[in-house]
Amino acid sequence: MTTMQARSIHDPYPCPVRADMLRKGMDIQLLSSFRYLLETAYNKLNIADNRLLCGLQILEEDLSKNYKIHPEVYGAHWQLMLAMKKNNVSRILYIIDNFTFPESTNSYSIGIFPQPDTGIVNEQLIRDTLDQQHLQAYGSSIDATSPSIELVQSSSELINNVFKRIQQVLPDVAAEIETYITKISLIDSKELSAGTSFPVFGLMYLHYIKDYQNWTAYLEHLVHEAAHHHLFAVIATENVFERDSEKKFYSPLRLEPRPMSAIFHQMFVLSRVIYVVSEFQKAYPESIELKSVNTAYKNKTDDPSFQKKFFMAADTIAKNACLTQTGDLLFHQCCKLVENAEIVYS
Amino acid sequence: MLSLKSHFGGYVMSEGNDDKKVDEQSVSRPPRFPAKAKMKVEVEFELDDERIFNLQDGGLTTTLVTSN
Repeated sequence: MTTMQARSIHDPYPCPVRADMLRKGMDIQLLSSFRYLLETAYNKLNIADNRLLCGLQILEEDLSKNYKIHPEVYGAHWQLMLAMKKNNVSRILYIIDNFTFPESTNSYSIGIFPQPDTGIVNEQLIRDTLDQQHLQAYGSSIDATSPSIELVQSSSELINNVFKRIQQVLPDVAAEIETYITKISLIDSKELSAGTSFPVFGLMYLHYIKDYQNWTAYLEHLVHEAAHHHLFAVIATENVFERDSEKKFYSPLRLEPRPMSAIFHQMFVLSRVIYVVSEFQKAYPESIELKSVNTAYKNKTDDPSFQKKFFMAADTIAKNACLTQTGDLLFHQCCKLVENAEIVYS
Repeated sequence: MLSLKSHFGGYVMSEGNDDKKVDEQSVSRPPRFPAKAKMKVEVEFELDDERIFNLQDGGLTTTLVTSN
């Protein structure tokens, strides 16, 4: 059954109505901010060209038709903001002259990342954003190359098949994924399995499916990355932390220590993954693949269950986080969700 | 009046095609800082952070490291 009323923002269970409201809130904020940046740039640089402002107006009208703003728009906004903060006029003019608004969408598309060098500025702005984000986080640009057409084809088919399974077993989860994710980019990488970068909200990048993997890898990735999107949309609406410090903590999903916001994200995402895998095991009780679902996220010899990882993150949060009422309620609801879910491992 | 298509040329529209020409002609583009002239232009933008949707706040790049 699909939920018709919006669940509370403190409720960790997926809800398409709530996702739609949160997504719309994100998109409205994005377009308002983009308009402000463009108008400021045009005024300061004495530009009369209104091409992008006209395009922006059409996107604003699209929102009332239930369309979602494309990650390329998010990426261009981010790059324009950075250029303006650095007073980089040539970069601002480059974006203003070359960016074209993509059509809004209400479903996801699958492509590759990076695109072959076609000189497409929209793609380049996404690439620049991911490179900068990875540089900041890991000290190097994103480690991704384009996979072959054959690998893209087989992986795309698998993603669509897994998505159909999610629609059948947990339609609310599927609807939420469709609400947040509008672009899935397949990558080849030695280091990355899947990822999301909030400045390009709506984009999820996934490694092509490897020989030793099965459909449960994409089940986990789709749910995991969409959950990050949901929590980010929640945090964009309401504060979760009273204050967040620079202090870093042990992470159940990473080798390196992470800030509290990242631990909270991990806790939330794991609660969603646990819920979905548990429900899938009920729907497919004979599935060996679901019982041997890969729980590893990092290159480490120990490989505890999703639940153990969840409670590691939860323990760190309980002992160290300074949460708002929203954060506290959401956290405790996630703990309840996990306590009520059961996963069988073979 | 610009058509919907010209607003949303999107990345399928290559440089120099007919739609692009119509777009260029339809929109008034008065002289402004010539990027190609490599003129050093120093402008300071005073931005109101309250009006900017900063998608870095509370967010992070999340990537999963492949497990072998």
